[in-house]
Amino acid sequence: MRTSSRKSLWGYLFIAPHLSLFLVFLFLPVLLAFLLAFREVSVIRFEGSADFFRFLVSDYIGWRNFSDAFAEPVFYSALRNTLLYTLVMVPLSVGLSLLLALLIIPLNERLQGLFRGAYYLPSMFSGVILALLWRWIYEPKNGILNLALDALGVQGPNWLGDPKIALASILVSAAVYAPGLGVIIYSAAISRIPDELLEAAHMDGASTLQKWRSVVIPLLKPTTLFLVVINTIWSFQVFTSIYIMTRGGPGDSTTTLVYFIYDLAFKQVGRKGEAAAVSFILFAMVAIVAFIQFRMLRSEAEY
Amino acid sequence: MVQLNELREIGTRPTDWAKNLRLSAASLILVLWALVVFLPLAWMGICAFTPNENLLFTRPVIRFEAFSLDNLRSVFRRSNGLFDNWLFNSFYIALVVSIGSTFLSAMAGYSYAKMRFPGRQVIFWILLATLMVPYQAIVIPLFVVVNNMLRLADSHWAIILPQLAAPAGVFFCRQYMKTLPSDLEDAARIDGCSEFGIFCRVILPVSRPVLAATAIFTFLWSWESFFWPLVILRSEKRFVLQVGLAYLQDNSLLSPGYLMAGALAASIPVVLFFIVFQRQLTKGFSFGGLQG
Repeated sequence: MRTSSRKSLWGYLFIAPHLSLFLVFLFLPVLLAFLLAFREVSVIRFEGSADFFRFLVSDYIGWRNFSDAFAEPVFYSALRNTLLYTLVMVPLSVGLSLLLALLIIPLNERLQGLFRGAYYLPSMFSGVILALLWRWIYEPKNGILNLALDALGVQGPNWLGDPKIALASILVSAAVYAPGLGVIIYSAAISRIPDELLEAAHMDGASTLQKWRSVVIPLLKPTTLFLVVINTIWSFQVFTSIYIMTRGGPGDSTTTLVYFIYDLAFKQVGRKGEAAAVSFILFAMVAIVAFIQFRMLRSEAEY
Repeated sequence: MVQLNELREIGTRPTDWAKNLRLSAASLILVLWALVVFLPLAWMGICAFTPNENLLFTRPVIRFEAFSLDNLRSVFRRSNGLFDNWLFNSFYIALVVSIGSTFLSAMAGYSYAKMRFPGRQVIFWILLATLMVPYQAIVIPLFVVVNNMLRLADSHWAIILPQLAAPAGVFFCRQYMKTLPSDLEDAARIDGCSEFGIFCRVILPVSRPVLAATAIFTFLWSWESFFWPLVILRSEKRFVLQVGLAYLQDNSLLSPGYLMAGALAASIPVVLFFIVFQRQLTKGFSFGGLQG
């Protein structure tokens, strides 16, 4: 019918501007990501149509990028550092958000808003700015942290220069701001808990702690799951603080997966193929985590 | 939430003292944590206005009388006009991306929400699927596309175009527009309005909240983007502010004052945004529909 095909035309016209940009700058790269991981990337050229054929067929090198990546010892440091960072950061961030959100409950509306805003605002500052600030705070000779410790008679360590504590220092600087978003999300979820449940617990003589443990926290499971997954994915992707504060050093004690990818692809020569392979591995890790979340959320009973 | 407050009876009975104590302990923790969060930022502010030399002593000299805008001036002067460039670049790129993205997202969102055409579901699912891919996995192929295929490396288009391609705004707008009653468009159609006219005169005015939200969030997101601009820009005068600050740090190890001043300047949009919109923000994300 003429009208429906005219309507379809308009449908396409409206999505066309965004879709064309999307196809070129997002969809195409996603496709390429799979192809690149299995090809010799350093000789890539796209100057003529023959180059496309070459790229698709002759540059194929199978799993060599992956085996090169696995042969690189820094890869394992990066993997270890990233996992370590994630394993500490996620419980810390989610736990703190939960605690703060719970502590905020009894306050009146205005104070609640004040505290939530106070925790959320700093987390909105860009990673670059926070990292610059904390790098200056961690400065071994002039930084405010060591100066404060010095005033107390304690010798402050070289926070970012000591391979044993550098990663921990970076983690702490991020953990201060990580709970911000979580507090807001938990608060919204808490406000959705039906009051009758809490009243019933109160009338059964439950103390606040018992109320938290038996009523509030179990009901917050979906939110908790969501925050755990989001934080895990973000932790896997740590880059900016590493780049600004330590450039992966000293040695490779603070090299994370994404920093490793960046270094391989854009700082070293001729290793873009390995970088592509490691990106692929990172993507797989994130996909697995997201998949697990999907499964776990599905099996959660609604209240 | 009101009933929760009523559950808490602060009176003068002995058992209430324990409750008061616990309440004060809880408030103490909250306040302490707020201090932990804010003190570094306050420190950044103090350093930004303290003359750089004072900060380099082993016991920095902080005197409020000595506060000055020197650091800020020095940042502009010593960077040979680069800082101006960076500020301007970040601003106009974020503005272009913000306005462009709002338009593109509004159009596409409306179409996915309300219009019918073959393949609509499939195309939308493809959009959704790419959200799963972490952007670091895309950086290298995107670099290949921009650098080798399109030869746009080291230009601002290389930043603007990929940012315009992001599907987040489209989801946002679609979500909102789905809730608009179809009677609005139907009435306009009966009146003989063209599809584009319907969009401009009926849909857009009614969608102001989501359009404003998209514009603002996109602006902030673009302003704060770091990884991709770092990778794709090479000439210093084309840098955006975030990349410029990182660059400044590499080249001025002894100038924390300047860095803090620059960082403070770069934080202004975020702070402004927060001041204007804090009520919406702290009331919770009821708008985006985040499920708990």
